[in-house]
Amino acid sequence: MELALQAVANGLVVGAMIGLLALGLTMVFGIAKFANVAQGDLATVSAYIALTLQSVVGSFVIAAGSAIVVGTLVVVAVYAVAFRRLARSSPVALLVTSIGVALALRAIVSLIWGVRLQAYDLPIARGMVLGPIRLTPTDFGILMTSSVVVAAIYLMLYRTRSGIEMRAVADEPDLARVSGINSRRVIITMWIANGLLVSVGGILLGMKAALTPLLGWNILLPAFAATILGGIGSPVGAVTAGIVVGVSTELAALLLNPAYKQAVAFIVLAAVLLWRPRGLLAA
Amino acid sequence: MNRRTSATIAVRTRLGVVAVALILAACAPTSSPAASATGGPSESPDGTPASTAAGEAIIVGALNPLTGEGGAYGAGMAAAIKIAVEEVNAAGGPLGRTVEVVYEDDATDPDQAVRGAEKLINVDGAQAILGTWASSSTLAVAPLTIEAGVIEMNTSGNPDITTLDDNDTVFRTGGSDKIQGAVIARAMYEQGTRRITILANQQAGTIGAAEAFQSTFEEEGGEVIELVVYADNQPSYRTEIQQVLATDPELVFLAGYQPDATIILREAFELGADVSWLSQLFAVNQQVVDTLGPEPVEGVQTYDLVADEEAEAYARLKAAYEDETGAPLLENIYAPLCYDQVILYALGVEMAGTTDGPAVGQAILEISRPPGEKVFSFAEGVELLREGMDIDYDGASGPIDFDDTGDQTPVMGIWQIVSGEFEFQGTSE
Amino acid sequence: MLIYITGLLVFAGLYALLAAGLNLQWGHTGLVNLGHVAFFAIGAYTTALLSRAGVPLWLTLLPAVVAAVVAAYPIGRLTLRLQEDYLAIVTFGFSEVLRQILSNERWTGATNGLPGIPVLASELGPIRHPITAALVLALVAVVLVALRFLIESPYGRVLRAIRDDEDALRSVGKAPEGFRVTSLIVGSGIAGLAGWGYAHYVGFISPEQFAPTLTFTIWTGVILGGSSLLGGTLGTLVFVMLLESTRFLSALGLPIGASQLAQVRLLVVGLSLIALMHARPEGLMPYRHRQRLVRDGSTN
Repeated sequence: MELALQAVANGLVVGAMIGLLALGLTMVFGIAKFANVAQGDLATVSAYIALTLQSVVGSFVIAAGSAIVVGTLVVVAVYAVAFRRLARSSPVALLVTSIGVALALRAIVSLIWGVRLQAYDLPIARGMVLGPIRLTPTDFGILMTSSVVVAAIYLMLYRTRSGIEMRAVADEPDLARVSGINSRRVIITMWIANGLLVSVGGILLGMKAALTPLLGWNILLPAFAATILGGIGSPVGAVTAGIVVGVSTELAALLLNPAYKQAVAFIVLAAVLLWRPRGLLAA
Repeated sequence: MNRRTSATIAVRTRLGVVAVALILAACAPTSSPAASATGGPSESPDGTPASTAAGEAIIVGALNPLTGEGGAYGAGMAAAIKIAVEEVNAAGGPLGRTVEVVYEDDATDPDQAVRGAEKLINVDGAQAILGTWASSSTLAVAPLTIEAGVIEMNTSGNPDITTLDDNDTVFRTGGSDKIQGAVIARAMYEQGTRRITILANQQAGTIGAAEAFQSTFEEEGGEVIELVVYADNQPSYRTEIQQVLATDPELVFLAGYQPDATIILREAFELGADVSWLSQLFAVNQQVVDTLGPEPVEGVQTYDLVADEEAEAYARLKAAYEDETGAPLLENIYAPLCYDQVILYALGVEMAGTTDGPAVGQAILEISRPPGEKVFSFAEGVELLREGMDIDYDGASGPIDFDDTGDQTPVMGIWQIVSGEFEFQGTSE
Repeated sequence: MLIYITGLLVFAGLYALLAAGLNLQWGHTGLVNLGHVAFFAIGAYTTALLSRAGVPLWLTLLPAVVAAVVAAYPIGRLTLRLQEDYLAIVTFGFSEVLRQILSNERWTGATNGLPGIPVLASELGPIRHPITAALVLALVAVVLVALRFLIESPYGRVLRAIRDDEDALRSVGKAPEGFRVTSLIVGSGIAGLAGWGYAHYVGFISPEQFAPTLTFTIWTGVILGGSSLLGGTLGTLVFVMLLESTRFLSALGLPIGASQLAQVRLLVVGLSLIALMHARPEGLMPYRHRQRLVRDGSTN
């Protein structure tokens, strides 16, 4: 039982990071209408930027904060260079473009930072005991930061004019066009929001795992699974599903053969989709 | 019906241009003087690349995992090959011929390995393919090298490589996973450990070593409480670690790779684990120690295929390697293995008097093992060979005595990490 | 050089077969199948297991295709309930689960894989490469002709109607469900055929050769090429040539190490994809059936 509780706790932490990326993916799906395969590698870029900044300024917090800003700018720049011109093209053209972006970013990261394993300079401490489970300061950091970021995005989506416009463009594109919403501005706002999610997600991942050029790519598939599971276009669904994916894979590792971890996630996904073909909380 | 409009023609023309451009690019001459001097690799009637005339350079293909899963090791392997070739050429080269290397990336992908090998053999005229790392790359490439009659030397672990029907042209300078696992299991038993839990990455190499470890350890009389297998490339392994800790072992054998080993050792420490660890050196190396600091790795034992850091060849390679790459040699166990491949190949060519694969293979078998005068470098070996003497090359990675299948039983070195430093404990012999 | 080029053509041809199957499913029926590689694997493993047990090469072809078709049937039934992106992730999940099973089961060789698969025309030595290339390209031609026939037939019109407007189709009394299933099955059977060819060319298979990367490669080729049959084939050829031609960057004599060069290759491929998509977002040869018919006035 204790092991199960710890597995759930572990799953929450991993799920939070998956949720961040999934939230971004669902926004790109809903507003730019395509599957952004570069999501993982965009996260990787921010993680490495934080690494370099830390070696310059010393304080991890300052480095991470600046990296989030720089990372967001990089994401918006990528949108401007690679995706903007294809706004009226088919989703599959954008999909292949995003594959190209993913490969290019991975190559650039490897060229600049090398392929050797790297890590942030963070203190390693024994975890804090909370009843039957143990959590480290890093875990707390991840849970808190993700919650704050997700809350900020929700506030933006449900309480600000930009957010309302974004949801309109995603859910009722024709109506949105007719009511005079500036779709260009909406799209840029969305990419800024995605940039934020992706940068934070990447840095948190870097804190949890270790930095290699494949850092973000490795978590891309669970993120996509979460996006679909939660219902494409549903921000709440994406984050919820991210946590579900995280927790269920950890529990599966405990109860079944851990080698089948990823496979189980997809079986769960398939089962849920058979029951609710549009996802748990479809828009 | 007008099926072909001008638009369609325009599209097809553009496509044609693109296709032609790409094919032209594919036919671009390579930088190898041997190829241009003879007008490209010539092929004898049965299709095998003919050994070019004396005086011509010998082309060696380096097919390493420069990207992909093996990316952390590939660059170092290529560097070691470069260093070895420079040494060989400085001593005049086998049969007085220069050795030239063409580097290709197999991206740790069997399909790319096949295409890379096909290019090396058929476009560059390589007489040997060295340094394949992933077992699947080696097994995919072997049919090609065997067919072309060129030497293949690898650092892979799959036991099936032992039984390849290869006319003595395939060699591995490491050890098969089975042998490695067995060797280290015996060493642990001799150390007095009796209750072990194994935590293994599901990849073929690590599972192979883990299973071999388990069966040997149990044969010796020890107990393997549980074998926990984990998925590759995960950001966290807490759950798996806790399963392992729940079995309360004396020692945990961690059969993994650098990224997952780093995460596992860190998370185990964070979970408050108080257990001894054993792992392979390529998984827990200086970089991991630098990343995690001395505490999470205190007391961890590591083993690998370097029997003796003081060995002549090793010491020599170490200096050159650190100069060339700026990284410590101990970090990349595959580098000495590749270095030895080059030296053995060059000496084999010298002894066989030809670059014909099976003949060189026979020669390599002999020079790798006793009887013979011990030599530790190409220069030494070539001198004695020209005097008509038998030699026994002991390399950077160990004595390397090949058996008739092209395998060897490695002598493993064992280290223990104490206060962040690797202290040599002894060998598995 | 000949052997190298024919080796590339074998791969390009096998990928073209995969692309043709995928094209039927996506380009003509609108199904997003991200698990295509699973059927490639099933074909390859079936023939590998049979031929290693002694069954002659030519007799294993049909079982390989049949195995893929049989495995595709339940997935085909799934397509009845799921649309687009959902089908995508479920088919993807299927291919990953299959790969896990192949990686863990003894009798499939587990992660070590199955070596020693009899190779086509191996007794002929290196000439087997051009021979295999010819065979594979012949298979591609046969499959393309057969598919072309299928697509231009009334059956094909129904498929396109499914892709474009299912409700309209239903309103004229045709049920799309059966067609979606057969489209998926036929495409998967072609993938199984490609798997047979692959196993008997490389002579060794392991689960890592059937990873999602291959699915992405084929998709990239199909999208690059456009939704027409020939386009899919061309797109995969272009993509393979693009990947391979970057090997020769080393001939430029750039002052960078082998490892950096490998990364530069990846960068070139990524940038090329972006550039190609910007230049031709519809793909190199999009399906132009409708345009053609409208122009000469005949009805669909």
